[in-house]
Amino acid sequence: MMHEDQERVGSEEQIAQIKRLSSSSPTSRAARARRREGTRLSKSSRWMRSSRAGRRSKRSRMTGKQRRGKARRVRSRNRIPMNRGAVLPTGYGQLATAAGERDGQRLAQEGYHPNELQRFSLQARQAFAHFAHTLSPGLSSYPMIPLLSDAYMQGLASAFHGQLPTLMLLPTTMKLSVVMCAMNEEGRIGSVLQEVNRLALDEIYIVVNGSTDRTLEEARISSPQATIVHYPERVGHDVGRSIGAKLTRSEAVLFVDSDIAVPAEQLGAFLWSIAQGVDVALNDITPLLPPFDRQDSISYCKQWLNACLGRPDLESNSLTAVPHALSRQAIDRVGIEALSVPPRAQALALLHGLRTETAATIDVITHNQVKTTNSGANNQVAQLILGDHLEAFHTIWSWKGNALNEPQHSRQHIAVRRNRE
Amino acid sequence: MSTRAGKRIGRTGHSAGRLKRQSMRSVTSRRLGSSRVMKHRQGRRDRGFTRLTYMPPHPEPLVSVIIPVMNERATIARVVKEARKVHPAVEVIVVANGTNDGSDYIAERLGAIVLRHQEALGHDVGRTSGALAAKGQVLLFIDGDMIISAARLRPFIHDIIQGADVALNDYSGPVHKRQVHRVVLAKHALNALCSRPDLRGASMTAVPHAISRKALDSIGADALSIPPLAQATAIHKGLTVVRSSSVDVGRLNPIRARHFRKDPLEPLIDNDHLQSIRWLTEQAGSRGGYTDLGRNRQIVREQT
Repeated sequence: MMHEDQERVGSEEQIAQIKRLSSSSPTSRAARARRREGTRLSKSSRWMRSSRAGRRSKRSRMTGKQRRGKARRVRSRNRIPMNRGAVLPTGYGQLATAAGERDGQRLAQEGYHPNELQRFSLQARQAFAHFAHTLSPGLSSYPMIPLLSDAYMQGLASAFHGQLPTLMLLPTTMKLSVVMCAMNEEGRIGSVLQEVNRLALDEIYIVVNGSTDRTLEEARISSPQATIVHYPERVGHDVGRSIGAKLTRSEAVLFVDSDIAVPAEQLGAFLWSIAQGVDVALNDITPLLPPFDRQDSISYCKQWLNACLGRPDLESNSLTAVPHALSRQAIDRVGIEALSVPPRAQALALLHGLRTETAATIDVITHNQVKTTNSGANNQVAQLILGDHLEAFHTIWSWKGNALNEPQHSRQHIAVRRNRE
Repeated sequence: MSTRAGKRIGRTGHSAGRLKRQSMRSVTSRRLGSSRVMKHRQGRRDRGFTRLTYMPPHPEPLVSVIIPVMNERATIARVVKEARKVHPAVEVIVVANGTNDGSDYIAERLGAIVLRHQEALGHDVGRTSGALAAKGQVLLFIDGDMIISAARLRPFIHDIIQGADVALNDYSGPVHKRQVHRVVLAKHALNALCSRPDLRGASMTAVPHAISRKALDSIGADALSIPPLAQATAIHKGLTVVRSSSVDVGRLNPIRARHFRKDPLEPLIDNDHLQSIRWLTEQAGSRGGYTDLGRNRQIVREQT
């Protein structure tokens, strides 16, 4: 759909290349989360990157074939290392299972039953959050959470004699919601909603628009508790998302796509990031991109926008890509209207000084559907996003006004200084 | 190295004739740095300094070569000599600004038309001044501190004669890596936003580049003072902007890169690109004429 398409605006050849590269070493959930773990890791990887860049200058002297071979190797090394070894601290698993059993019995006594899934799962999340809060030391990184949740759910299931859906609980009492925009997603939206339902959310908003198939019915069946907004005509994905954002009153809002089923364990990373105090949690697509000279126009615009806003470290990560999550504060500050134009929303978020971080890497490029509107060098979606970026730059100008004109006066001064040194 | 540099100062000073002792002393430290550049010129270096053969500017030039110069005595002679060779009907215009090392006299003795400005103008403003004085149909812009052979300059002129309006240096900087220099990024992004991703990182910010008389009249000489703006204007006005041959100016300009931990021009160039974006949105609306692809923004507005 339009949204993920936006990531795939390069030539088909380029996409094929990305697919080849990324299929060689798929990133695990744990690995992705490890990237987030702390500055130490990311710093060292950044350092490695720079040293590699120096070495890569030799590549320019190679033949095309050699270079391609080399590039693939470099790319695969550039990817996030697989972290199979995400483990819980000793004893946490047993603790969680025991707590799950105890809480399960309590919930059963209080009359909660998995038949009323929404009510039950919310209560389970609350109980899980209280349990996680008692742990010392606390949970330092996201990859522990799915493991802890698994262990907890085992205990919970034993109290209900195994009749439980496998929920992915986040240890937070925050109000969480998901906003999703769908247009002709019959056959796909169901599996997406299955994963979303596992997150034990307070609210789910689905904006069905311009659909000529049974998207609406499928959504209704797959997620009975969801609020569905239906527009017979097409409104556009970004507008759909702002409608959802307008309706929700939650403290953390996750925006997802309706055609790629991302496991709940991965989606949870974005909401958890918001729970940790981040305002804008972005999908980190940097590891999925080729070197600069083979990137597309949109990537350049995204990078430059971030650079102009003083956040070159965000590279090509942008609200244009889903999934991403926003805090209540972010939605209120940026405004619903701006959310309809994602790069503009990003510019406003950074101008407002909202805490913007990447939360996880979800490969939306490889799994994207190819459509006539989103493929080819100068496709419509690419044009749309270019326009969006012009709007974003326009926003910077209206925000900063003539302050940006100031360096203009020093042209002379610079000439003198440059010549002297 | 210091003795060799010293020797050359003496010789240069002698040939340039009217140099004052004082100004020579003030540039000594700079000359030490430059001698490193000169070492790469494979023994040709002396020719440029010892023989200053006069060649008058063509009375009806087809090509005007514009060279902003500010204290570039070490290289100016060679630069002018190469510039004279690019075309039979050529005039060389040297825009000496804030120069006190005699570069302007060297250029004059070689037959260049010298425009003198007391204060430093910077490269870009210098180009405007040169363009205003130019009589040719093709305007080639180069720098006074970068020796580029005539053979490598001719393709730019050729492209303009063949009908292009702006012929850019097909040099995008080092891009075979993940994160590139800020300025390189800005150039790529501006071209992309102007719907010319095929230009890659080619920009009027980099020399050499050539423009036609038509382009000059269309975008105005003043616009040349902000090169990215001039480029955006040219593209927006439908002029033919092409990537010409590639001259690796990054390699030709190594000394400056080493001297600066951070190039002072960087924020300025970044700002120039932002200025160009603003101009673009002023001309073609806040979306620059790009599609909104059926976005029904009204829905959200009504609810707000």
